[in-house]
Amino acid sequence: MVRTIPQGFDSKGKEEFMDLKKMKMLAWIVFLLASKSLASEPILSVDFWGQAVRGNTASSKFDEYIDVPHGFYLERLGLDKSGATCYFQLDGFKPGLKDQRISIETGMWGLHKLSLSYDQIPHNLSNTAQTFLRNDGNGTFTLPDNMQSSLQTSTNNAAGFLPWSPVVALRVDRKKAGVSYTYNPTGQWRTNLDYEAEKKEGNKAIGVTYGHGQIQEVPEPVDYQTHHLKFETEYVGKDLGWSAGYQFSSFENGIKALTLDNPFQLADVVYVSSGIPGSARLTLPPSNQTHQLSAALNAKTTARSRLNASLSLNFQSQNDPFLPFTSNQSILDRMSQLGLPGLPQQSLDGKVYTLNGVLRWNWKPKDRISVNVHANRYSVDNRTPSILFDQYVQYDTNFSSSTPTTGFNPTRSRRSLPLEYKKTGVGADFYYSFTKPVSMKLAYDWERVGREFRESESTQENIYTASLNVKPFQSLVLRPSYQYSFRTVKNYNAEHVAEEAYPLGEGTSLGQLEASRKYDQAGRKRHKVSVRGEWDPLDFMSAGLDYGLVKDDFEAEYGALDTKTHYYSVDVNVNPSERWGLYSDYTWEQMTIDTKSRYRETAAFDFADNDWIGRLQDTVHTFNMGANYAVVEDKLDADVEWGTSYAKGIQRSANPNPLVGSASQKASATATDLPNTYTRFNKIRTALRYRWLKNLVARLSYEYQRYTETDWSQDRLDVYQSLWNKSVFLGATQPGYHAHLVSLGLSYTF
Amino acid sequence: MRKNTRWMGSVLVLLSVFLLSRTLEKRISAQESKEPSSSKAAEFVGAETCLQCHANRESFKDNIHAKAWPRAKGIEFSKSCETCHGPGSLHASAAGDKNNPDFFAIRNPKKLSSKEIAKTCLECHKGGTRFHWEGSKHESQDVSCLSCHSMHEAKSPGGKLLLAKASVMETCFQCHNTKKAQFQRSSHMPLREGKMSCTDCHNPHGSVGPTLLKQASVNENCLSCHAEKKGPFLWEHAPVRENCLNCHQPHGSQHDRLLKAKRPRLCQQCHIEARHPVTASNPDNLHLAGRSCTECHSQIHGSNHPSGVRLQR
Repeated sequence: MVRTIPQGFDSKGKEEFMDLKKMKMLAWIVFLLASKSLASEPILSVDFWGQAVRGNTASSKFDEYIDVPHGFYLERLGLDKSGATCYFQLDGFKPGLKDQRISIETGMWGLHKLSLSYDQIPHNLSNTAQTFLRNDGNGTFTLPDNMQSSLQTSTNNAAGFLPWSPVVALRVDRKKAGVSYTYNPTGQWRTNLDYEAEKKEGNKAIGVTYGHGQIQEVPEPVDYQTHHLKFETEYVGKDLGWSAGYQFSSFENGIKALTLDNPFQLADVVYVSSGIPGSARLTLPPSNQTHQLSAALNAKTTARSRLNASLSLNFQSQNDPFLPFTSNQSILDRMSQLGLPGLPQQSLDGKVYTLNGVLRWNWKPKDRISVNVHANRYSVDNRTPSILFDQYVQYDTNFSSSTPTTGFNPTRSRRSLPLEYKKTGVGADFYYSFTKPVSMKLAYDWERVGREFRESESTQENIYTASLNVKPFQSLVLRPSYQYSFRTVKNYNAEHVAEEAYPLGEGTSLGQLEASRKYDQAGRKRHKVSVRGEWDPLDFMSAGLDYGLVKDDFEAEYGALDTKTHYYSVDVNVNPSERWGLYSDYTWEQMTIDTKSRYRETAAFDFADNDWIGRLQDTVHTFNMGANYAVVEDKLDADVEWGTSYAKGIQRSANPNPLVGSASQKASATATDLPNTYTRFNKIRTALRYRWLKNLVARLSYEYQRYTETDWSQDRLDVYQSLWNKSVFLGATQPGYHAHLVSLGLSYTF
Repeated sequence: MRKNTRWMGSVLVLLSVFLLSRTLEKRISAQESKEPSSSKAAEFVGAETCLQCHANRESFKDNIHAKAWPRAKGIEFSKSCETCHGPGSLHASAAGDKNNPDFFAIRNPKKLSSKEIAKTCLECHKGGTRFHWEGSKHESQDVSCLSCHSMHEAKSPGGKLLLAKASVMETCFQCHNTKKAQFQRSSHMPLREGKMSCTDCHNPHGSVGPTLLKQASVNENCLSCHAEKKGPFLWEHAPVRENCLNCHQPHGSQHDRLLKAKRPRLCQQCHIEARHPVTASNPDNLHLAGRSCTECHSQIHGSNHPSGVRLQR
């Protein structure tokens, strides 16, 4: 019998077909491994569930990472056969479902260990996407010619049929299988060999532009395969330990390019001064390989000190063939007519060497004193050639009305930049314990980051930390900590990179604002405070308190000026009796970023009066509470829990000065607040567990979930929008949902 | 020249510290040897003796230690109690009499400092994921092995990790409560769904990377799963190459794709070039539609297309 695999977007049939094959293979492995052990007294446990789901669950947010079964299913399957010398354990979680996880471990206690695992994680991205694009395979998406002709004739025709595009589910399924073997020939030696293969399949939304003013979203096909191989061996003696390892990782993308039809243009226009493309093409992530060698040493240096050293060398390569400059044949023809050269080389020949070295010396002269001194070096040495593109083509399109900035300009060039950086750090900390558990720690760290092809040549940071562990009362432990750091920058040049990749003065545009500072390289003063309190006033009660503040002041006139993360959290646990348990926690967190920017149209229109300031602030409240109660001890117990998370985001912006320029320039320069965004998640769950027999347990549970979101950028993301009638979206959102889940489960142990 | 001087200076400082430590150690050892030690020395009595009083510890026979020790460490069950608690003859001879000082001549982990507990555990568990424990963040912050593990009353299923709580996440959340809250946000990795755990990224026992990450850097950690973003690309986006955390908040965010802030403002923190990046804009602007900047600059993690300098191809 020939089994056919359905074609097109819906790969459900194919997945099931693959799953079935894997399940059969796994079952055979289990059978072979278990056959000997099963000869005597295995413990087999089965959790069999039935579930009913009601509510508005169409949103992909409901089952974003899990498979929510409707009806009967196997929740867990366990098999345990442990003898005095050998063991065999199988643990299956939701076998056969899309989020299944199955692991098998067998071996001889303390000598051999062989593990097999298979894990699936679905990622539902959206159930609301719609498109007329047809997947012709290998990353090619086409539209019917008559549709393109109709839209080319008049963009207004789009309103008539784009809203009726077929629905396509956006989801990526990750399937990972692994095998691992560990051998412990002696108490000191251990050797480990791991292999993992991972497949990611599905599609996700990606935007493609044909030039300013036209966006088309498309379901980007995902066909990734990754292999990891790892070998490690270690010896750990009393005075000396070492380890050495080799890792290989290979990533293969089965689809190298994405080509799609332009809904508003049937064919490429012959180049005169512009060339509107009938299609666009972009690269998808290139395949790559990584090799890593690593070694570590742990040695006793004196009777009370140890040295820990670690070194790893990583080599990463990527050499996928380049695509041509453009899929627009009219531009390629024009280049040919002008006698312009094609690609300077056919692939990148990308090579990056990463070295990581860490030295750490730990000295404990007395039980109460500990001194750590450490040094580390992390160096990313990018040996990818820098390629000069003398004749650079920016888009698949040109616009007759545009300046050379948006079109093909044979006089303009670009150079690729092999970015690299080197990080060096040294530091020391001193720990002193006054008495258990009162202790203090003082630390100093210094870090330098040297960069190539970035705005700053280097940054240096000095970090001072003081922390305490105090016990003011018998029942209270406080752990306050304060860190102050300042970062200085050497030779920041805002336009250093722009000159290479985004030439200064290109057309009428400007480079980066000279006074701006990118926050990852800007001078910075950081204050970091944290306090953790643990209070156990009664035998049956404990409470915790966390407070934290991270405040960054950047030395910047433009860009991110200040950021602040502020939080506190309280948690309480009460167990009034063996039968009762209550818990609750609340967390408040607020992240604030203050920015400054400037509306700059041209060199002649670059005024401080057109500055605008922005404040981004996210505030999140999270609350959980629950209780568990043994109604009849060892027979019937119940639990209930409620969790909620409420987040509010504000994006404010304003012009501090009266604007200058023409009315239209002022309109463009005007900064206004963006609408607030909200997400709200509520979950209530209650369960009853009844032990019928020693080996039979029944569970009944009810769960209610509700998720809502308010986001101006998503709430009206329809496929067709009159406001932007030359753009076509997928309408891929994750709207709110609410769901009632009732489940009944039986656990039986044979 | 200046670089060499710095390195030589650093080596000299380290050498001096090392020599000083040796000298100090000799003096401390000499001082400690003068301190009076207990006149009576306890001897090993075997697990059978311990179980006479501590009958509930019979279940330790099912503990992973009891199963693996005989072959891995040559420790039979009869020696298992005293491997951690020390020789018990004096304690046993006190026969439960708390007024007898010998009753306390047994190593009780609850009364030991975190460092003393670690010393006991590391007698056997020095290798594997504990290779970098000494000097690690948790070690230097007084986190004890018993803060996370329970030898006799583990709550984690499977009997291997012997965690004090039911799962890795619950164990970590004992102290990292704010992380628990972050994972409840709309954009999150699948931890609360049970498809990932804290130890997929972090090694709580110490590592050579920052914030106890399993890999040497943040990017190596993220790219171990997100291999498609490894590159190297023809056109790189500099902050991406250096640190994923420049834009992402891995423990949870209210913004799409774990972003630290909402687009376009996230991008506008750095991009103050001419034209659209510097326009504050409003929701009616096409540049703010959907995924905003990344609708057009979709190859934000890097592009390998010859025409992809602006990460659009």
